[in-house]
Amino acid sequence: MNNNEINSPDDFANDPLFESLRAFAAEPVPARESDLSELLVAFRSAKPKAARKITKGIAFPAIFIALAIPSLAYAGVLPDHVSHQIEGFIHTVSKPVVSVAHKIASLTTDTTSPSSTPTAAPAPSASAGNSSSSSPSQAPSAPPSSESSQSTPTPTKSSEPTPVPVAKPDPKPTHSESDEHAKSPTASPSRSAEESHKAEESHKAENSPKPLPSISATKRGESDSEHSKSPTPRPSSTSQLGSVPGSGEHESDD
Amino acid sequence: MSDQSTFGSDKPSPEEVLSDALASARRGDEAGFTILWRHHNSKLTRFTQSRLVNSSIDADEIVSETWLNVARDLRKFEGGPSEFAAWLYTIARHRIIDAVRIRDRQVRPTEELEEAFWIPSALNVEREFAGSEEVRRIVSEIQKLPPAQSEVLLLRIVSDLSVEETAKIVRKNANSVRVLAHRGLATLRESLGGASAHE
Repeated sequence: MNNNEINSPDDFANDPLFESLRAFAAEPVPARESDLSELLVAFRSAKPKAARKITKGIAFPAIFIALAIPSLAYAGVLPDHVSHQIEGFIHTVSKPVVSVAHKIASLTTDTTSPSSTPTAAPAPSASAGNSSSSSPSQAPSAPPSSESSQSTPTPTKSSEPTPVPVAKPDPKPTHSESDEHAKSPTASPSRSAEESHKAEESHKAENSPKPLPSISATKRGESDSEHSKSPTPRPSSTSQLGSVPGSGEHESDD
Repeated sequence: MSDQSTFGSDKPSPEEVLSDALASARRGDEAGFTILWRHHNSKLTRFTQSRLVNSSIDADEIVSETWLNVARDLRKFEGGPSEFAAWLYTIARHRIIDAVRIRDRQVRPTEELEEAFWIPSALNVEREFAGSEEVRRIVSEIQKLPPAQSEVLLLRIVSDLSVEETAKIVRKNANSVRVLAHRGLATLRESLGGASAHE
């Protein structure tokens, strides 16, 4: 490679030896519109492919990360402080999701239950009462029964962390509630949603050990003195039903 | 001076037209892609025909595959018109190399079979170079050169590409391209001059 070769001018541009070749190259090829139309079809079809690639490149890795990181945190692979943060984040995120899911589930059960239809109102009311006794979501909104009001919740016992206090509701108020549902079926979904919300709130309040003793100690002062006379004290799980506001009226009635 | 400037502003240069067309085609505009195709297709076809002058490979098929590749990947391309030309001819070059490799792997028909079924060895060349014996003779002489020299000469003469564009296509630096062109031209002048002197 010498300088003459490098600095040689492009003399073939005007070389007569290549005149015919240059003319051949400049001669236009008859354009085939069919080829162009096929190319345009391919050009058009490349657009969704690009969008699909973007989706694959962003969405799938995001889903993978969203699934992988919590599972790693629960498996204990990640460091403790990181896994604690992730668990806290998951807990905060899952709260509204769970509440929404509860609402949706309660709505669907109410709409699918036969008590919502006015024609089938009397017969399913009893079954609704039975079912409500097993479901904790409807029980707290029911007015407390005389049995629950007669219970003797001592401050020491009520402070014990008990399971869901609405697990043993009185069938009577739920029965009356189901009667109300049968009378007004249109109002049942919204009301059941509120009830489920109240149930969750009461569930949270009763699971937390701190506020319960103070509530039972302050509000139940009179009833404690009354129920201390009763020969057969109720277990603490039913006694905590008395902490639901409005229970005092039934006590005074009794 | 002012007349020239106003005239220049009224009519955009071919470079500007190609640049706009390339930008719009990258955004998915079919009109821009059509402009690019109309501008480059003839020279790309001539280049492919010249490269496959003594081959049974269909040059039109190579050109179609090249444009399909461009249509599929144009949105990922980055660069100006010069880079686009280099990209286009690089794709065509790779397609030609692949086609030659595939052809070499295939079992070649014997002479008897060729006579019996009339299998033309270079049908497209017969068709494209019909009526132009001079062109065919020059291209045949170019094909006798070493592959790098013949490729550089065809890109420079037939495709009318610059030294820099040719260097990008053949993946050499500009000085190497100049040297290859110089040596190929010297050899070609000798062979073509000798042949014309003999005639």
